[in-house]
Amino acid sequence: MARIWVPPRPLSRRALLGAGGLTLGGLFLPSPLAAAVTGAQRRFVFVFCPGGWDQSMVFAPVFSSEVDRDFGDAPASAGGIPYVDSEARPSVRRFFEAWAARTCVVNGWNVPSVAHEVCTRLTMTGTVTASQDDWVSIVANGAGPEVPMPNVLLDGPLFPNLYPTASVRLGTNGQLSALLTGEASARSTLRANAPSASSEALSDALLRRRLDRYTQRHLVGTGATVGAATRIALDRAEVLRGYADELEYRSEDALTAGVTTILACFELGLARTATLAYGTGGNGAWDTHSDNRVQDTLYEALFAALCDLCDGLDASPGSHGGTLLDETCIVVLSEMGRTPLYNSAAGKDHWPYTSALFIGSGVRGGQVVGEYADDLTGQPIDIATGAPSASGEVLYPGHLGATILALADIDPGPWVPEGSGRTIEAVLE
Amino acid sequence: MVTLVLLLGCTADRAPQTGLLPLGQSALARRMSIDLRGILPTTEELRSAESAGADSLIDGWLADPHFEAHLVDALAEDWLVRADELKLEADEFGVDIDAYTFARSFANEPTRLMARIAAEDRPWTETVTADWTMANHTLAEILPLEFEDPADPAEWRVARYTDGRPAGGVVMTSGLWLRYSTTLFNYNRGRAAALAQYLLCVDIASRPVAFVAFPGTSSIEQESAVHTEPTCIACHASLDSLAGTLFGFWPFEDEDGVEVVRYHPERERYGEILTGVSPAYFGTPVTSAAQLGPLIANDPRFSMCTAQRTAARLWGRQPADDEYAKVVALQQALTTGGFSMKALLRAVLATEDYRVGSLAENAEDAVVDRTRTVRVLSTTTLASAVEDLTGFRWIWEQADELDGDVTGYRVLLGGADGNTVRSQNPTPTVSHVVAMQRLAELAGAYVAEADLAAARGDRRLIGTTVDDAALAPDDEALAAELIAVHRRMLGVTPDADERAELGELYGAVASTEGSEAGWAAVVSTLLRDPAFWTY
Ligand code: HEC
Repeated sequence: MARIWVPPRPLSRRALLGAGGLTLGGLFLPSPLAAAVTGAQRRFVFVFCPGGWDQSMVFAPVFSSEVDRDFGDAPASAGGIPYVDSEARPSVRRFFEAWAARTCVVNGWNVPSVAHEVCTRLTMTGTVTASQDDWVSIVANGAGPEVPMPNVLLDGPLFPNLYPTASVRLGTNGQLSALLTGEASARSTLRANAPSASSEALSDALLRRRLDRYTQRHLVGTGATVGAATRIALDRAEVLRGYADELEYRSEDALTAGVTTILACFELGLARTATLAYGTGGNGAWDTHSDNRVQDTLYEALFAALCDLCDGLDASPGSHGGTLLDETCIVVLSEMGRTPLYNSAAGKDHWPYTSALFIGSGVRGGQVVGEYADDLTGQPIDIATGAPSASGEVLYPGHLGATILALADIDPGPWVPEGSGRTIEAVLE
Repeated sequence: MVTLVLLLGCTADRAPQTGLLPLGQSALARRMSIDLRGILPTTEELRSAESAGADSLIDGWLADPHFEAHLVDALAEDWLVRADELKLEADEFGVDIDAYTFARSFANEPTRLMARIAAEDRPWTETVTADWTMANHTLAEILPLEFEDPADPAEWRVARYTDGRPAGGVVMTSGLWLRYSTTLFNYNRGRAAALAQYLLCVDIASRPVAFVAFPGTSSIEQESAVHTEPTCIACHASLDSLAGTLFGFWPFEDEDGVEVVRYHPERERYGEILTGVSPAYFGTPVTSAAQLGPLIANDPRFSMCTAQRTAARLWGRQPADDEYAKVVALQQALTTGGFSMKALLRAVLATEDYRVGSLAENAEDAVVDRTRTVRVLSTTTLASAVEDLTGFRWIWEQADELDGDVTGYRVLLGGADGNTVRSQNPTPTVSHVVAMQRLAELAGAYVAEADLAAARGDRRLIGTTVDDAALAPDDEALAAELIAVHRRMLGVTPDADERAELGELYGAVASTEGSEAGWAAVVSTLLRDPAFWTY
């Protein structure tokens, strides 16, 4: 049968609309009973930094003659994590001082390419072919139909294949929210009368009857997939209509707006995973071939947002007695790193060795896994302990993917081809 | 199983051996009209499809002005040229236009050129050899080019560059290379990769990557590894020499607008100095960029790729590896037809993969998996079909909201933005159904207001069977009018239940809010129906 989309069990409206207003399936809503979350219950936030961040400015405290850096850079350490400190990036220090115990830095993984598009696909899927879903879609798809937005997508690259409906896009300018409320209709040069509430309700009801008929007429093939997906989308939209304000996201308001939106979605149980990118457009703001110091500003904003995100999650009750942070794993990625040395434009070029951050639920914090040599090449490690080991493995995107999937209790086997990466056990709690 | 299907009455021309069952004539005509013109068939066209067969309509549709307009959109979606953000903005050129018009003017230069060649049925090889291009006023203000006929009132007109660039069709358009720009450390590689991908279907970026440690500790060492390391050479030997042929477009200052969009004939061999790589086309040395177009045109991969991309677009999916023979047959239709795109389109329309409407029970799993029995309207086709039907186009602050994402709804409707979204999403999502709802409400109300005020002969959709479309809910003429609207929008006559339901909707709304609101409700509901936005 067609494997274009694996439809989950259709949403039951009763499951969504509980007595006295809306309660969601329960899986991702606060509950007073305390218990550790399983991987299947874990939430995820993926933060992507497009263009290639300079790992030497934060994650790689390698102070060697082979690494160019700014005079302000200084080695520092907090909670077992050595990092690079600078007055230009105070939020980096603030983050590690507050959250090092919950954070695992993965250093020196290898992309292995220096072309943005190739690296982005590799980082998100482990392969260069179009027939593999990204890690986010795979994890989000496991959320089940009770969740109106398996993945709430604020911005960032995504490569869905089997799971094209796992993500709900908000638009980067408040579009979904405006569509849900109907405000979007006023943003049209050609004006037209909006329907009355009763007309809209009648139209909705007839649409559903017509959709039933469409489904009956398309029992197999693409039409069946379209019919089933439309029904689920309508059900989800009906739930989300009540939350249009919370879903109003504008990327121009930078990461702060993204963090607010993600926190709201998680607190309300609207989403299992969230995806946010910082610095999209063109090759990405992090692609600093000239004036590498731009990354000071980018890192400062990124870590300020990570502080806000962790603070916010930590201040909210989770579903299982602890906080939302106890149930949420934050993964921060960039598709590549930057060369150790400046080029002639005071920029840094593409570099296939880079770092990743795992924060929060399921993560063995207070440690660095992997290592850079003096020339910023990544060293092989023992994936069980995370320590450098000449007989160990070089980390590849497949290692990151397998680790993300393991955190979600998903067998990496079908998704990460043999030889392209294994779960980095050292990252897991 | 096979016998069962045969007993069920599959005739030989239904090709039960493949399991693909064709659409009926009117549904086929609807599909063809959408794919060739981006608009729905008229009621009269549906009628002649039913009497004389859908194929009888193809010639007329290939000659319809909508054919060229639609191809511009379809190729833009295929080549991902309509990025919202380009490397440079209008103010870099000292012109005062909005960002959308600026970006789409450049984006549409190469696709306008290709579409014009197809519309005039010139050899498709001209898309890489033409010594002319297409330009609008915005481009004429910015680019070093002159209109062939300054008096021509058309928005897009034939134009010629005056900066000494060689003939080369789309390969010599500034529009393509502003979209696929390069950085001073990329040496035109991204451009070469785009050229190979879109014209030859050689996807250099998707070749398997060897999972080996990357050599070199600086970009300088990387540059040398590119020429010495076998794993790098596998991709870079052809990539870098092809990139070397594009140095006439090399800007010395990549933030300087005029530098970026002009051609610099004297820099054609500059890449050799920068990178040490001699320009070549997959092994054939290139001493002048003028050779590039003819080399591509004569490359069998070019005709093969044209066939493959056209088939993919019209089949709603990529041809599978085991369908090589089908693509070769299409390639032959193109080349033996004198490289006529129209001949190729006719050949694709004749394939059973194009005409498939459902699947027999004996269809093999692989066929079931890959076959698209219905297609979802792409965002630009949705825009043109809705406009043709209702007169409504969703414009806001100059931007076509179905063709962009700054304030628009392109990716929310499943489109690709060429940046973080690189392929269309064929499956409807939450954002699709809510964007469809608002589009449908706007378009429904718009056409209801316009048609109810218009004289009978000037109406687009509502009131084609009656003089006064402000019908009372119990008016006997209502049923026929509902049938006409339904037929025009969905290509089929509604059954009795559907008719009754639509009548109830009209009646409920019209009796309290008036007939205009009643018709708006009917049309918007039908626009939201997947039977409208799939085909
Ligand atoms: C799978 C094919 C492939 C392989 C293998 C490959 N490359 Fe590339 N490389 C590309 C493509 C395609 C681009 C251009 C991407 C773009 O700009 O969109 C590129 C771009 C580059 C660039 C320019 C990056 C920039 O934009 O600044 C460098 C440097 C480079 N490659 C080095 C290497 C080295 C060194 C190796 C061997 C270790 C290698 N590549 C292996 C396909 C490949």
